Amino acid sequence: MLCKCGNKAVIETKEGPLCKQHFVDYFEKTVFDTFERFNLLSGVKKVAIAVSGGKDSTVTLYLTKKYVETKHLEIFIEALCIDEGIQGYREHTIKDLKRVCSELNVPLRIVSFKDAFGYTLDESLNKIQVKSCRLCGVFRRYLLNKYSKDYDIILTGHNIDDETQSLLMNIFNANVDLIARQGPITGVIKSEGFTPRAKPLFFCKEKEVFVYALIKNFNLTFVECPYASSSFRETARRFLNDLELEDFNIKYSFVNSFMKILPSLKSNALEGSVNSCEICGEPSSGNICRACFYKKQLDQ
Amino acid sequence: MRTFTPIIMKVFLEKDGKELDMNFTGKTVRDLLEQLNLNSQEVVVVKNGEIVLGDEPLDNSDDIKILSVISGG
Repeated sequence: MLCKCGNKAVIETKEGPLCKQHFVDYFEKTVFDTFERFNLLSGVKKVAIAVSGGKDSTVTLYLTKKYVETKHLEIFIEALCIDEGIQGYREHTIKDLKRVCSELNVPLRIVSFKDAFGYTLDESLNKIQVKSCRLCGVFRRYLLNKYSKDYDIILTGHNIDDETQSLLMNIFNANVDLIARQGPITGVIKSEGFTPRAKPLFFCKEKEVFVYALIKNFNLTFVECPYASSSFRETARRFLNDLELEDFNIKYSFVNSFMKILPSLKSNALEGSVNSCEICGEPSSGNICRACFYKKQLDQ
Repeated sequence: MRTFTPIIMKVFLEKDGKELDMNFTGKTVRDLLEQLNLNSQEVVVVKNGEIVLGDEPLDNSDDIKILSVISGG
């Protein structure tokens, strides 16, 4: 298969098969267009990139820095890593992360589940009955928010595969309020306690992010989270990827339909008041936040 | 799937960290993924150090690596 320029293609995209150089141009334009279309860095002075050392967050970090430099923006960038403590997985990605941050000259801050809650994710799952991705998600979001208060925005590496999987999962689980929180800019409630979050890779496929990272030679250890195959997300991923074999644009169609109804979803979403957790003082919809709820169970 | 005279093909599966000696009955990358029951959206195939697409012909002298695209939890 050949690129439009006649060179050998390395990936098929919605613009057709592309060679390395044309794919890099296409991919970077897609991400830069997302920054601009949604004004992700408008008025921003300090940005935290949620990083793990995996391909998605590394590409987000690299391209945010490139965008800021290309546009001559005066924005301070820091990488913020949450170490869940997943043996055989996170230690590899953190090693890569330290190297990448050093190469990009971006300061890195690491906060661990162990230090914050007293238990790694592996230890927690041995103590209480809870789905791995649920507990991990609650603790990770909590720490990201808690340690990004000095920042105007957090950028995450979520791609179109993550987004369509979450959409499907939230639809099947009837989580309409959670659907309203999705999109390139996360959340419906603006509150001092919450740092806004955005997803520059929102319109990029996971495979595109992977190939970009390969071409750019980030030299990452590509390892899969050991809990990935036990999750509902895995089922949603397989379903969507099987559909994609039938219709290459299915994820774009899905997300574009969602973007059309998102404004009305957001305006109809319950704007429930934000309380402060009685234990830690962080934002919470109830008296006790979910992180403290699980922490209490772990300490019993 | 079209069938051809089987050839012994060495394929390195990065996700499992192991090399397979397989009886390859096809001719292209697409045939290989079909035989291994892999979704082309979830893997990248590298032939002799270069990323290749489904229509790429393969033979038993090629160095084939299959990389998994999936990383999340």
